[in-house]
This record gives sequence, structure tokens and C-alpha cells, in this order.
Amino acid sequence: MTKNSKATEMIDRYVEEVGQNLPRRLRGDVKAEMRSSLEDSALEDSALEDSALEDSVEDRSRAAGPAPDEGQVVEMLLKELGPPEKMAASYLPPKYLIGPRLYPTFALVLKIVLVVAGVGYLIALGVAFSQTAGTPGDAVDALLGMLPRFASFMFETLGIVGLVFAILERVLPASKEPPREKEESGHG
Amino acid sequence: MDVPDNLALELRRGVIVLAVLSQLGEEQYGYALIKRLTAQGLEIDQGTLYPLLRRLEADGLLESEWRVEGSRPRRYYTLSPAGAQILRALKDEWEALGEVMERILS
Repeated sequence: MTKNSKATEMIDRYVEEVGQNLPRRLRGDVKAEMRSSLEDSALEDSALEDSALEDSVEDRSRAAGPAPDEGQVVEMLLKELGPPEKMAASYLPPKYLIGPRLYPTFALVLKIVLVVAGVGYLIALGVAFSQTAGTPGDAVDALLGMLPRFASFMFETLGIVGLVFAILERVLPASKEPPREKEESGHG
Repeated sequence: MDVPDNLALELRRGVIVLAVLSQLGEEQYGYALIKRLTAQGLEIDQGTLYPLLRRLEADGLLESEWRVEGSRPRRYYTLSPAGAQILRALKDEWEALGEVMERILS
């Protein structure tokens, strides 16, 4: 098979980059298939004169000038496929930190945590205020004094809630249903 | 007026699986399948088709094997028995949907 080395090189590089973004168990197979498919389409598209042409190929050749060489055809092909990371991602299920199945519960828990923390803060504030002599200045001091501790408490709590749900997302058995159906069954 | 691309794409996305399954009664490799669909008027790009074939295989609707025919090894896909069943069911679904839509749109 005689082949333009530039075209081959471009295909190799693209396929290699797609492979790098895939898990090992898929990598070899997807790479091999993609390489063979790209070579198929590159060869056919550049053998313009002796094939029955589809519109897209005609467009492609027109854009490339009168006699597109394989390099140009491959370049356009790869441009159509888009960035290799995106191509690789389309071989994988969508990735979520917290997916649509868990999100409603996550949002609910978050709301509860925020409300409870807010109420707790107000109560602590009231207690602190009643223990001081009761000038408005004392109240402001108490409020400001508690703020750093409250802030770090909130960060920790939100972090832990997020972490727990992110772990749940990975641990709960993945169903093969599309996300829309998951939302229904995951919502209670 | 032309339909905006994303709307047209969305409308087409649903039927692509049916179109692909319908062509795989006899085995095909990816690029040949694209040409076959394009020749019949359904344009589908490689970036969509190849991952889709994988997914359908992972779902048990397709079977595949590597074979060297001609100049290079190619992965040939064909309907599995489960895939053939699903294809029949999807065809019925499509016909029912077509009738409903015709009624709604007229």
C-alpha cells in the first residue's frame, strides 16, 4: 500500500491522542478500529475520480482545490472529527462528579445543611449576646468573632457532603438506562 | 426556512439507532456503513457512528469481529439475535410514531 507519509503520520498522531484519553481496556481496540476507518475514508476520499461521490466528499474536494492530496483530505477529515479528547469522551459514558440520579438528593441534603447551620449560627449568636452585657457593640463583636469558625465549619461540612455524594455516585451500581429514566427512579 | 442545526440534529438523533440497526442484517464495517447510509440520504459523521457501534455492541445488540479483507483489518459488525428482536420492535415503534405524527401534523 503506497501512502502519503504525512497523511499516515497525522492519522497516527490523532489516533494516539484519542487512545491516551481512553481507559486501557478500550484503548487498543478503539485505536485499531479508528485507524482502519480513517485510512478507509482517507483513501476513498482522495481517489476522487473513480468513485461514485457523495455530496460531502465533493464539497470536501472542492474546498481543497482541484487535486486534493491525501494529506489535505486527512486534515479535513480530522477537523471534522473534532478534538481527540472529545472523540475519546464519546466512547465513554458521561462523567459526573454527582450525576442526575443523585443530584436531587444532594441538593436536598445541601439545603437542609444550610438551613440547620444558619439556624445554629443564629442560636449561638443569641446565646453569646445574652451572656455579654448587651451593648450593640458586643453583639457585633460576637457576630464577627464567630464568623471565621462558622466559615470553616461550612467549608468542611459542604466538602464532606460533596465527597460523600461523589463516592456514592461511583459506588452505587450504574444502571444502563439513559439519564432521564434514572432521574425518575432516583428521586423519592 | 432552514431548521436550526441543533433542532434538526436532535430530531435525527432518535432515529439513528434504528437506521444503523436496519443496515446490519448483513455485516458491515464502519466506513462502509457510513457510505451506505449517506447514499440513502442519511448523513452521519464518523465521530457519531463509531462510538455508537461500540455502545450497541456493549448493549448486546451487535456482534463484531476483526477480519482482514482487502488491504487492512476491519471490524465487521452484524446484528445479534437480541439486536434483531430490538430492530423489529423499533420498526413497529417507528411506524406507530409515524402514524401518530401524521395525524398530529395534518
